[in-house]
Amino acid sequence: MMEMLTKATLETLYMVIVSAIFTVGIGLPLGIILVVTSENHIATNKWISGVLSYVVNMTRSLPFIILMIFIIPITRWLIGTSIGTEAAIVPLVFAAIPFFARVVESALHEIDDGVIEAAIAMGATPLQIIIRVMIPEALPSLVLGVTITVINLLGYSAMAGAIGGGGIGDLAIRYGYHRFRTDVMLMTIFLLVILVQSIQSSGNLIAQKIIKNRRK
Amino acid sequence: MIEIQNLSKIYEKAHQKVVAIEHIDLKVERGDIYGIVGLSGAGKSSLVRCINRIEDPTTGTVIVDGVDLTSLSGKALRSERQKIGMIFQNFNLLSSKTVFENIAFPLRLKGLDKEQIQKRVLDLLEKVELTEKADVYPVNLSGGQKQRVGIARALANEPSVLLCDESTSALDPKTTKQILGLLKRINKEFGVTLVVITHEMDVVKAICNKVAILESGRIIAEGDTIDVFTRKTSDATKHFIGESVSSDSNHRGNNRLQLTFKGVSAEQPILSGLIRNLAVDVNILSGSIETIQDYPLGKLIVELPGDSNVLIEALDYLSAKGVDAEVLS
Ligand SMILES: Nc1ncnc2c1ncn2[C@@H]1O[C@H](COP(=O)(O)OP(=O)(O)OP(=O)(O)O)[C@@H](O)[C@H]1O
Ligand SMILES: [Mg+2]
Repeated sequence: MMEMLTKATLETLYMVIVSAIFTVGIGLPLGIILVVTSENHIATNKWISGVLSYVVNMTRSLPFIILMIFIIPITRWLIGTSIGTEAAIVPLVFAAIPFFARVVESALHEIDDGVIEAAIAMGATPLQIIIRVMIPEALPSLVLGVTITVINLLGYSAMAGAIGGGGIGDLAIRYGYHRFRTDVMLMTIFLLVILVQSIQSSGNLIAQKIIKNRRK
Repeated sequence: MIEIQNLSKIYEKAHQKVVAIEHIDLKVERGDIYGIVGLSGAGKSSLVRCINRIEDPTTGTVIVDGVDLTSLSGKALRSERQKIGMIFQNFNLLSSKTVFENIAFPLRLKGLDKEQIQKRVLDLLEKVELTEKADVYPVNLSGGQKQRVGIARALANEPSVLLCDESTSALDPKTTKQILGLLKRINKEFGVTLVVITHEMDVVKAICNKVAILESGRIIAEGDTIDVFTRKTSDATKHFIGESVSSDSNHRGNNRLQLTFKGVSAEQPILSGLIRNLAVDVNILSGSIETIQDYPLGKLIVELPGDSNVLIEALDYLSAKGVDAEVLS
């Protein structure tokens, strides 16, 4: 059983880590665009912000399981197959991007307008404001945002087991549910709890460290 | 230095129009410390924000140092902005950066090399007396220290103009005095032209050589500070400049005068001369002396019992002595 659990855990970690990288890589710029194109910001653009906001909301309103099935053609086109751990990463990323983009948006909206105004007054370009002002100022919130996104990905990854994605969720369904292996079921629950706890605590720790450093 | 012509700013929000600034003309000369005072909502911030184009004017032009800012955009506008420093009521420092990095920020934006930045920032830290706080983050600074960082940051690019929007309004009186002293020094030593936005008349009296009083988006009085304070006042400006002299209006005397003494006349025994030479009685109702730009200004409200002949004679005598007299009743 240990072997099974180790393999499943590694699969889960693989899915979550890879999709987290893609989610942050795509969701962060999207969240930034959502903010800077909003009203009275550094690159206000009603069209872009309207369309983007609409797409984000639409994607977020689909339950993960439906989204997963709906984008199978895209998955096939990208990965070559719709089954397996790699294939599970595609719907995971699709589901997490809009969520993370909103998280980024709210973190960046928290920044005091005055600070951005000061940067404008100093002649900063919009890109300089994003990179040198907005991201550093919102860094603790962004780190916490990444943390809850990763935890969400962990939850979704369990469902991705349903399309043969492997991982802890897959194990729980195949052994714990279909074969009535209560011990496996309990172990998977235990593992998930441990994973969620450690992700959350590391996130908190990093954010706290950044904040503490700034109180020096 | 700064020339504002026919400037208007109208905010439009949800089909509602708010006129913040209405057809303002203003000229600030090089080396001025120009005060702009007004009550909350008078349009002071809108006006100053139009100067460096943080806000786009609805109509009018703003010329700073010969450059028409209203005609610029993009890169040209940004590079002009670097020549205009600005400090804020809430300091607006970057909480993610140390004092040193906050001051270095505008220099890094320009892509200066490390050594130049190091040298310039240390120099600025010395000027604002914060050398020992270089590696501290803003949360650990007092309000006065934060504003000094703000001033150093604003001076980093060696601007010709410094805009100060309520830069002492969040500070206690003692710290306010320090900051105002620093601003005055910056004006004197580096020849930086200052535009000082405030709702406190005391700030204007302390450092401004020129002042404009703003009300509902219009300038209702302007000129040399000392003149604006001594000038016969309209009702509109009264609640700004007349606040320190109180007269109780229940007491109705015959000839009530407000006398303003400035310069030499403040040092002569004018009242006793009036009493002796014209053989009139003088009742003093209230009085005050204040300092405007290190310049004493006395205000006295007096009553002369008697008929209008007494009044005319007294006015003649006073004007001969160089005292400004305004008939109140
Ligand atoms: N961004 C904005 N959108 C809409 N209306 C605004 C905006 N900024 C200012 N106003 C309005 O314009 C008018 C002038 O505001 P402004 O901030 O210039 O006044 P102020 O003299 O600086 O006041 P205070 O002393 O309170 O700072 C006010 O009626 C205000 O409500
Ligand atoms: Mg204001």
